[in-house]
Amino acid sequence: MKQYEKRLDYCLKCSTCHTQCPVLENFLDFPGPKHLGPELERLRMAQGHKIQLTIDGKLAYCTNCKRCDLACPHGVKPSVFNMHNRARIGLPLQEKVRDWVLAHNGWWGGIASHMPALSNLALHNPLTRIFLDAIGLARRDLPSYDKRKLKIGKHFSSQKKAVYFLGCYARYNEVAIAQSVINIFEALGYQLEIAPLGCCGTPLFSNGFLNEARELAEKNSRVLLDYIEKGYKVISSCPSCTLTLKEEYRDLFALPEGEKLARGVYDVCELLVEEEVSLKGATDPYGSAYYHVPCHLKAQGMGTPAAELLGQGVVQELTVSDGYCCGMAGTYGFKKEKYELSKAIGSPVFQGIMDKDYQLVLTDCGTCKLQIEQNTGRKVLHPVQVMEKLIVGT
Amino acid sequence: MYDVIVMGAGLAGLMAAAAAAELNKKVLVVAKGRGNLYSASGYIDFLGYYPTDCRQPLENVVEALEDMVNDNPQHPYALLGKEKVDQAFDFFLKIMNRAGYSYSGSWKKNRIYPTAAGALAPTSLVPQRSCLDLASYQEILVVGFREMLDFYPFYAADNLREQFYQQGEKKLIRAAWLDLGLSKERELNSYDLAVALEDEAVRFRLAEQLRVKVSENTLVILPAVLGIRKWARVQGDLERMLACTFLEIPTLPPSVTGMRLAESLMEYLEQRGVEFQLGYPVTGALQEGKKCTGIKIETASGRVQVKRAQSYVLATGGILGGGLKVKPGGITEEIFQIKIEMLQEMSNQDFFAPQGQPLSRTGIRVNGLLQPVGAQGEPLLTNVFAAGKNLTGYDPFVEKSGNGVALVSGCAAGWLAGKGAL
Repeated sequence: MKQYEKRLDYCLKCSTCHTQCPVLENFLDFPGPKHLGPELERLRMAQGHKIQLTIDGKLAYCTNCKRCDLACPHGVKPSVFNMHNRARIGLPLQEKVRDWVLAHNGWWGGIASHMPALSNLALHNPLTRIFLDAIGLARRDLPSYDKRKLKIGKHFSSQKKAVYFLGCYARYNEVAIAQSVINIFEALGYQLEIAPLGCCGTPLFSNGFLNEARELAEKNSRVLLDYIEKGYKVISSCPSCTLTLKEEYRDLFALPEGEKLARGVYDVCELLVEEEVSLKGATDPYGSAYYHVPCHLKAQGMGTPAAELLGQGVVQELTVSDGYCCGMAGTYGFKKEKYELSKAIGSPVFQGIMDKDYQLVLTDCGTCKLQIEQNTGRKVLHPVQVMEKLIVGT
Repeated sequence: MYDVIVMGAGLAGLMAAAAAAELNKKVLVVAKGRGNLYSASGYIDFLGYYPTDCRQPLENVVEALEDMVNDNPQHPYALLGKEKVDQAFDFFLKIMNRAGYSYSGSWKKNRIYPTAAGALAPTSLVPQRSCLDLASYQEILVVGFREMLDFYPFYAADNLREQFYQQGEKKLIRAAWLDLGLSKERELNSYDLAVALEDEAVRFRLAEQLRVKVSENTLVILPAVLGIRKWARVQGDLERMLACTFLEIPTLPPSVTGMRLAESLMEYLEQRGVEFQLGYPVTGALQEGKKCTGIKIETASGRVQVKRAQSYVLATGGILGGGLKVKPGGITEEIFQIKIEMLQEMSNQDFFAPQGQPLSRTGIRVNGLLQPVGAQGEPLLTNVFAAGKNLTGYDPFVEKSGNGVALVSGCAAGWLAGKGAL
């Protein structure tokens, strides 16, 4: 029996997870995490996973936000069952093609960032839009590609070593975030390297490409473990990347060295808190800020390190909001049939931001940022972009 | 660094957090997940039956409490005393009012409310919106929904009629099935219906189907489905449209009434600056002599995060809640490695014996300050205060005292921790 299957018997069917599912709250046909997860898994196991349950098709509506995992009073993680079974469902060809396109965003990013101007032109070309519409993409803003090159300071040797797993968003779409991270860690005296790796695999497995994601996980894990053995800490500014490196490689893919890898992975702000970086005495604090806690950051169970840092006096009135999912869920909000649902899920977040005239709107996750910017018209920053000048100086 | 860290997010933990926050302390709540309130009725039972082999719900609760203090000095009520009980109940009523989800009633008087099976059960506090006198309604309509699991209006109505008849009350009790046409591809539960009824169109459909069945004097008893967050609006609208009265009955999990209590309380606490870290359990504690100096949480990375405070509240629950672990050879509280005293007889052959199962009374022995104590009564820890089902000395199932003990001991633990007592 696999590790994750062992937790199955702890499910009492109390449905606490059911009450925390943002999809279900907005889409009554969705059977919810308890039913799709532990409840039906007993049936599937009894049949040796050979028979496809028709209800499983609804798994395509799971955003993998993991609020169910956090809600469970008994330590069951419905999302693990859901991600395994997500890979088994049969979808119409058009959806499959579209999901393949979205799942391989890292691959597209690799091509597009070599010719960002052309790619951005192509993305906004009406013909491209017609094509994307035809394969089932929502008519919404797509992230632009960023052509700036990362600047890394002179290589030096230090006791403190970190390897930065960029992730697709900071690598291809918003290099400024990566640059802030680099500047901060160099200023703190870290010997910093950029991991020679692409995607972490989240878009792959959350679109059902589990085997491909597993291969990627094995490769990424090998490279990162090499670094860890040499005394490096693995850092990332993307909550989905850190969650996947910490939890999914270990639990979903059950990689033999998953535990060892997980212990070496840090969210950037998590490491800054551990370093006891002080942001006290900011001379020019921001009046107010709304900080949206991404679901995948919350799911790491480490609290909200970015808020801990910003709360030291960088922001006078900090609203930390972790009660709602923004609905974007990586590639989910790009899907035509899920676009309206994705906006409905996120509406409390958008309302919260627009209710007050916040000086800053912050979030760690690239796709949360896209969703919030598009639905509120507000510019959204990664917390490191605010902290940078305080740590690095001008 | 916090003033108080509360472990557990059930009623005891949330009340402890509220009490400490009331003293303007910086509070963190850490729990494995959301507490068991989502499976609970949301009613507060103080003491339903005492002695527990008594068939009738308790009439004179004040007197029974005095007896209990004499008979069972280890009972949490006896340890804390009447004054603490009074303070805790007043405090609960006050903060629920501030939280926008008011309760009414008193611990001194049991009120009788119907259960989902149509039994009449004693309780002490109910949400303000459910506060009505059943005796004053001659005409009752019990309503169920075809698309919803686990609520059978005809069964409940039959039982209710029988119970009232035995009490010498003759009432006209009818039952009806409604069908809101919501069940598309699956069976729904009370939470689903409550979400659906926040939509005005669905509410309208309900009103249309009920209109022919009710008059101004009808009490409509239905499973608790009248809204999750916009409950005031949902019930208000329906009462305006139909001019009858509604009484929601707590259902099997997920319990909408329990959820409303949990979420209004948590939202209120967040506004008061209480922080929550839910989803990963506390796996151990750091100790220096008899002082706890920190608690350990293993996060997603597998690394251990240490959180520190001046004092700590332990409200992780009993055997069912996971706060106490049963293993061959003994029961332990695993965060502080407290060994639980074993009784000679842990089980009773008669499962439903009115004196209850001895196992339900197991828990941590504490002193009047709620500090865990050893065999000689000496405190094992001086800055850790235990509350709720972590405690020994009571049986919530036969006494009907679960939420009462959680509320009273939770408040007391929060006050003691907040004041940094001794």
